[in-house]
Amino acid sequence: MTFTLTLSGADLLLLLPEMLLTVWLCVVLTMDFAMPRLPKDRLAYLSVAGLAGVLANLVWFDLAGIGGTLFAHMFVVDRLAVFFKIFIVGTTILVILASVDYVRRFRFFKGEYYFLVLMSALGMMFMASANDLLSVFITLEFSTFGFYVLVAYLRDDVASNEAGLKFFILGVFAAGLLAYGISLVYGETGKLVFSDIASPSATPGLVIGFLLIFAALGFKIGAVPFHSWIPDTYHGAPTPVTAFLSIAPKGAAFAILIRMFFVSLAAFKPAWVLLLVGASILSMTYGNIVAIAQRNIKRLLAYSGIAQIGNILIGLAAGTKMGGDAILFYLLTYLFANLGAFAIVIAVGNLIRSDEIEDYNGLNRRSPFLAFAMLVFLLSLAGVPPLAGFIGKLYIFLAAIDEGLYTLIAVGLINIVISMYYYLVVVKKMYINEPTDPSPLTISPPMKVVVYAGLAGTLFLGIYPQPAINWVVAATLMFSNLAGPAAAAPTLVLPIGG
Amino acid sequence: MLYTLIPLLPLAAFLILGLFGHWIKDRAHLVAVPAVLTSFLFSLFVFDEVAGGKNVTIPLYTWLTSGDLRIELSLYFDRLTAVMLLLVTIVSGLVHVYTIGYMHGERGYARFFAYIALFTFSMLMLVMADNFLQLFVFWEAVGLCSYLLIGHWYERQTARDAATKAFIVNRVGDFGFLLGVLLIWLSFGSLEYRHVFAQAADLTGETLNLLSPIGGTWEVSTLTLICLLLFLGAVGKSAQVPLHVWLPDAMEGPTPISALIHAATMVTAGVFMVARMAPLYNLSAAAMDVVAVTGTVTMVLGATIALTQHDIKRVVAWSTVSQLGFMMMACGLGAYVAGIFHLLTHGAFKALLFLGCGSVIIALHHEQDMRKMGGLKDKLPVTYWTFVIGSLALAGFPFTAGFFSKDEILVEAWSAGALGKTLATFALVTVVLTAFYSFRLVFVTFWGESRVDPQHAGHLHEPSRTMTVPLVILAFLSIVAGYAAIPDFLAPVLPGPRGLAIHHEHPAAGGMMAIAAVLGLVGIAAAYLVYVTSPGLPDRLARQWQRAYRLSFNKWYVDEAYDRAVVRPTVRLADRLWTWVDVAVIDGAVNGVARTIAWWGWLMRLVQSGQTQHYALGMTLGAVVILTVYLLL
Repeated sequence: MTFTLTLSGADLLLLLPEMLLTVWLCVVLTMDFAMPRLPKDRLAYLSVAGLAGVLANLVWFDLAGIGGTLFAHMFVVDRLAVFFKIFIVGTTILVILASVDYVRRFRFFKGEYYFLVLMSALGMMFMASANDLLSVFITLEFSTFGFYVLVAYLRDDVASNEAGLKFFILGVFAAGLLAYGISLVYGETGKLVFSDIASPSATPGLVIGFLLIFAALGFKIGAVPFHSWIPDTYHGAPTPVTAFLSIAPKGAAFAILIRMFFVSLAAFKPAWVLLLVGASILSMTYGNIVAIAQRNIKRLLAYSGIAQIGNILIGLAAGTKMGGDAILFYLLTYLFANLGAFAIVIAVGNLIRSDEIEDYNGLNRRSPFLAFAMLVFLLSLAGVPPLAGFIGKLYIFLAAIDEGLYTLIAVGLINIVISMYYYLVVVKKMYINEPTDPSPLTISPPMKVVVYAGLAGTLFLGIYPQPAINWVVAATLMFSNLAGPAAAAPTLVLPIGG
Repeated sequence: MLYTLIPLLPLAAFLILGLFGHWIKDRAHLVAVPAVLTSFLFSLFVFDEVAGGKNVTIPLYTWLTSGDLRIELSLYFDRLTAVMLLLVTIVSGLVHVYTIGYMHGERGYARFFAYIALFTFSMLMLVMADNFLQLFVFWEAVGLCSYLLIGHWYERQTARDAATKAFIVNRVGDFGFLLGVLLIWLSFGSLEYRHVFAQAADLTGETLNLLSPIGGTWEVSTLTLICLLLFLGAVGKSAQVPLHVWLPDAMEGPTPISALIHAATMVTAGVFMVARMAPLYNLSAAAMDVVAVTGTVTMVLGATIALTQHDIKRVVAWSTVSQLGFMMMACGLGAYVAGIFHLLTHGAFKALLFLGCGSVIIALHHEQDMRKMGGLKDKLPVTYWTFVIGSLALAGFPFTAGFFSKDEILVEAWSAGALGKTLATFALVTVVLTAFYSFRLVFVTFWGESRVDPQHAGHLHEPSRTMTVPLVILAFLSIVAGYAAIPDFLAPVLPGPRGLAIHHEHPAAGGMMAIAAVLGLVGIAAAYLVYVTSPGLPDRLARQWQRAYRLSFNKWYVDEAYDRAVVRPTVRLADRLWTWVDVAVIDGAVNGVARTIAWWGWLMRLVQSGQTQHYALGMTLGAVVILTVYLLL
């Protein structure tokens, strides 16, 4: 295989967002070193400014429809990639804003924190563009390195160190599975690019290879049975990192999963539907049931996250264009609701130094705004109309109904009922129980921005989802050829709002 | 357009008051009163057009189409509709005006006007219905308004109970009504009046085996069954025995409501319905006999109970029950024209009596017990004189409206065969009772010594002009309505089972008129004798006829019987179901599932050991299981 690398100016344009971010994170790191007396908050706002520039660049790509491939198809820019990059950059901006207060708790390397977050974001942006198995491996590891450090960032905190170490060991283990899987697939087909792999026959080596790759990606998204790192890591990590970890890498991993299943494995759909249905059912059920027993809000959200991933896998199991749309839309709703919920956890944690659910007793008396926002986020996660989560679940279930996955939907509906319980337990504690310490709580301006953004997104997507639906439908146009009745009807008209 | 506006104006008033009542508050009448009065003017116009003999159907829109079923919402106007429109809009308009004074300063002022506007709309739609479903929908709608208005003072427990009772008892009747409508759909394949009436004769021979589900045989004429089921609805709505129990309790509502809904309009809907369905009833002699006998029993029962009640409004309410029975008897004997005639005159004088009661009640600061009244005729002259006119009309005093309509029914009844003669005899007895209790009311309330609470006795005065003007207008109508040639006007649209109605040419007419007038006078004289000349007499009579007195005073123990036979067993059954089925089985199952899931949650939590090697093992095992499944399948 010859490898020629010729880059023209037009090719470089495709890399513009990544290059901008690379330059910018170097600027942030340099400023941190060069100006030791600069308040670290400034670095946060500087990072956000840079990310805003990248976001503007991506929006331009999306509107102008700029696309193409680079490096012998290793790197692709299409509307799907741009969607996920916007998702990742948006998440990163909100996470950085939510970190400003928390970073004051760190005793060392406050400035490097922002640098590492930006690095991880850069890695995930590359993941969204990964178009062959090699770039999948490289970008996945690239983005995860930043997280290994971030999870263990609380150096004095045993839980944080333990979380970082566990994440690292299991992550390396998953990377091993991934590398092994890639080597098997390459050995069987001699190809690496997703669109080339589409093999006519399923040899055992190919099956094992893809299953191992799925296991590694399953680790990344935290699907059962590859979820075991999630609770401990989420619990021990600094809360903003947990928030980041629970959203952005999931989006990036789904970008790869969608490409792998919808492009490379489209021909074997009957074979992998069972795999995804199984993973989805296990994730939803396990996540929701174990969440009931949690006493720590971060662990609760960790298990709830596992269950939410199970919901998103429903869309993947549908394996149609509409399933793809639904995944993208669901991720958007999940971004706003989950990040919003974590923002409340961060804010409350900063103020009362506790993440125990008991300490949310009477939150409504102490801060009606925080309690109300948390209520909205939890109800959206539970899928209560007219909030975003309801439309997301509806969309994904509709996609599955079109494919006749009735068992999966039945399990999903039962799980919604179970999840309602633990979400409402938190609501009950906030609204009905008496607070032990009735002193009022106030939150800082950057935190308010994050909570307002979460509320706005959750309400907007729930009440007027049509613009977002149009966007995700456009982002997955390349899958219009996929079988299924949904492909014939590219737009979903929801009964609400749209 | 004009036709459509008649119901739409009150609806618009309701919507405005319902949505903006919060801001409109004390100015609510400025919205509702003009709307209803304009409806009245339009009704006059419609009356004039329809009087020429033409029937008008105005389709509004197709409500729903499902297979063969096609329901149009349309307005139907014939002479019967026209007179009902006038009755509803006149009484409603006067009650609207009266309410301005009666409800002045009440908290729910705008809400009250909103509901009576809604009621007026529903009642107008009911009388204008041209198909059974529309009839049923607005039949329910007036029931809902009645419920809302009886419970207007919802902070009172008694008002809430009365509202609930009215609703539930009516539901019993409406259940039958709905079954009747369904049976019509099954038998005729249409719900439109004109189709049903046109095909009704073809159905005469057909029967239905009621016991077929359990293998028995009980053939019943389909038409009779339809008529009886529809009549069940009328029994509920028009407070006929045995579903009459809600009407007296409904007096917990504000008095204008008693006048409008529970005397003049809604409760007469049952009578109106039977008359409207005359083409069906005429084909089923059995159903008509049931209607006639039920009406007669109600008439006698109501009159006997009215004799002994102390609450001024309840006397009038029981009188309403009795008079509704009288009208129902007329319809059952085929005298639809006479029944509707009496319905109209009764609407005028009974509304007058209720509004008069309201005037007394307001003057006495919400005192309703007759024993704490007396001697009011000098203090409340307008109320007194109008009340006397209303009572005379009710008693059938010669040359009042009630005299003519009552006489019409008696003559027709007498000429309707053996059953008719028997029932007419009961009716004559009732005439005496009616005259007696209505003048008992007059004498005890307005004559004799004042027994008024001294606290209020000093400043007794006539209520405001908005309340007295409607009284005077209604008193005027209570006299002149009898001279309108309503029977001749209605006769063409309401043919009886024996062809067109017969009227005064009947040989018995003159004699019956004289007998009824004399019996009415006898009743009045007896009341004078008992309550004016010898004040100790009522108590002595009550002691002497203790058993009869108690029976009447306790309303024949019907409420108690229902309580024992229906209410308590239901409550006990509900209680059992709650403790055994709900708490033990359903809650047990639900909580059991919840506990099981929580238990699994705790168990699976143990898997999260915190040991990294366990986690890695778990992942490996997971991968191995998946691989095995895929490679072996």
